[in-house]
Amino acid sequence: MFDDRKWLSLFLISPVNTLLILLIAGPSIYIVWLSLHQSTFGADSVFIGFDNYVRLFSDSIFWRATFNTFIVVNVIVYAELALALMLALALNTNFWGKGLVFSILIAPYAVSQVSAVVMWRYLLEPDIGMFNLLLQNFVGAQLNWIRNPVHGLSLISILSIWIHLPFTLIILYSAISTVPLDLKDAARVEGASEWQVFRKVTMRFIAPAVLVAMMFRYIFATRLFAEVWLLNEGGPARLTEVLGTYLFRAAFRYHDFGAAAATGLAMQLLALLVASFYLYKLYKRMQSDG
Amino acid sequence: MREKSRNIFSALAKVVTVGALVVSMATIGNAQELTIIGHKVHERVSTGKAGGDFAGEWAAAKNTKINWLTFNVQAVHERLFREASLGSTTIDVGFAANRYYKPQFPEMFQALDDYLASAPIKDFDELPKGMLGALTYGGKLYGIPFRHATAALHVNTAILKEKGVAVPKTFEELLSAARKLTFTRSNGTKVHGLLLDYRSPAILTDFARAMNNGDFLTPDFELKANSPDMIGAVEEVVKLFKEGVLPEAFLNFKTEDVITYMQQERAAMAISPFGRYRNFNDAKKSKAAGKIISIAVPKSEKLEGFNVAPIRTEFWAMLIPKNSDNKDLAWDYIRNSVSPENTIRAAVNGNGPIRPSAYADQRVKDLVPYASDEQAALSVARPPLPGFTNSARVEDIFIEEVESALLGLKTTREALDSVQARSLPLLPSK
Repeated sequence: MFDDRKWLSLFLISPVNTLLILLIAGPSIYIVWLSLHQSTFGADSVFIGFDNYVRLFSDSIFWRATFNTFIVVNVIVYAELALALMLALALNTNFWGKGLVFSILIAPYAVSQVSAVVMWRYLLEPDIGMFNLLLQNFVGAQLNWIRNPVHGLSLISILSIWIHLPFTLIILYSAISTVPLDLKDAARVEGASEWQVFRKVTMRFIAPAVLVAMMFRYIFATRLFAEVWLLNEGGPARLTEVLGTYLFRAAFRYHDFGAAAATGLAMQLLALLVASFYLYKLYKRMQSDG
Repeated sequence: MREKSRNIFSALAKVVTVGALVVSMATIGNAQELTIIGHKVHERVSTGKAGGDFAGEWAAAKNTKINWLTFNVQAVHERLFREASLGSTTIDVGFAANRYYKPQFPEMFQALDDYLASAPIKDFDELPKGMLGALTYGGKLYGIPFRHATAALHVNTAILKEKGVAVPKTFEELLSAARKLTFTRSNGTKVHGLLLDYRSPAILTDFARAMNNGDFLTPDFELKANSPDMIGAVEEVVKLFKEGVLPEAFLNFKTEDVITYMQQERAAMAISPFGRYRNFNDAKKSKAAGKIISIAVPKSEKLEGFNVAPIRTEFWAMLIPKNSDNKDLAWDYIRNSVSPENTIRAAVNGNGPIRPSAYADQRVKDLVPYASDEQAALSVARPPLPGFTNSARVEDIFIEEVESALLGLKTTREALDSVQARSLPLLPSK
């Protein structure tokens, strides 16, 4: 069935495949196994079939966390992408101080998430937070993230966008920089408006990069945890709980590793569902390109 | 040239080899190591200046290097339990708080009865029986109590004087004073009358205890979440929150927030462990340094049989992971740390002493201004709830429901009925 050449190929790629099996497939299989067991510190794991999944799917907080995750992730990904695209386009022109502006924009990526969240938490503290006092003076209302879950989820989204914008910005800026100027000039000579140049030329060139950025951000954002846990631990009344904090509670507060594994797999499934759409788009595009 | 280089490399190689041998021989002859995992406060009270570094003295006498691994409360337990569940561990002594005790301890930790028989702890009988009982599984002892954290009422006397309010002597006076001490300064700064550490059952049970010696969960696992005592306690907390006596941020409070509010004089009183006296009066960090006194939480005038409120006390014990390679050394460290003399020295460093006799020592009387109040509180205090496997789950349910009541999404009764119904299946069978 296999000729010598194929055996040689398999042999040559076997080190990397072994690594992949050890580092990715192995732990994944263990997580699946764990999700079918009752497991905690100081006790032998007991096989319980799908009980962890039954408990998970019958827990209203899990569904609330899933809904919150879905909403927040979509807000984060699309708002961040739109903002990054606008900034990347602006940065693609020449202006004085461009280097400084670029540095400022990517600076949040160098700030640790813990510091970033603590900083925002105090800036928006209801009694003494500078931003909230400014909002109170100029708008007549505060961002009441402690009491109001919609405000809480909004702040979580803003925080996440602020922290991760540089990632998307760098990808899109790099892609926009590669769009041939002569093509744009040719379009303009043909009478295309700036909007048409953007839509018909720039977007076509950067579409693969946009898809890659979206896919990665969807996957990373689905694992949203630090912003929520450090800000309000999913409160008040667990109304801003997301899947990341739900999993954290199961593993590190309740030491219920079977439930945590089941939650982890549910999160993976959600990320996979979203990513598969974009992966399919990328695949189709690659096929049509070539 | 090549010959010269070779000679240089050869000489270098010899120097490196001899150096490595010397270093490894020195290491072999050098100090053994003992790794302790706990909260920063455990390290501070064992190595402090005021009472002296008794951990360091022990380490020097035993030619041992102590490695302290300190984390926040939740992380201490997660790491300790994880290490104790592995095939082997580098952790030799771990601190664990009473609410984290669970039936799996015999699988993770070393029973200490044999150690206690062969190398006894001096005046062991003085250690509180209740604490030892909580650390006993199947008739065997798995930990030695080291520290108690008993709740106190911390009062900023300057704010009370400013508003002409006397230090409260009953719980009713406390609530009334808290309302009078809630105001906004001329510069716009809000001052809140009272702070509570958190929204957990352990904290809110303080109100039920002070008002009517109530309980959320008894030591024999009788759940009283929707008892009249708990409903009364939570209703009072909800009222205080709605009136602004408790700050809006109470919905998101962590220990650090209580310390910050008191240090910035944004709150007049707080119910928090006695040990916080040092944080609140820290001259380097606190605007309120020297103004805050710590007293026993007063009881309701209707509550009979007590001089002060039978408030919560929580305690930490030292345990030895079953898989530690240094069990003998770990035991020696433990028995040294809880000796009568070192209990006093730790108390002077800010520890809550688990030996009642420590309060009679002149050093404690001189250097711990709240010692007599702490002793009075401790004499009637008891743990807020027993440890069990699902304690964290029950705590989260309580917090979620109480927050619903604070937000007005549920009445207090509805919230506590829900706590009762959701928590009952999570309790161990009696």
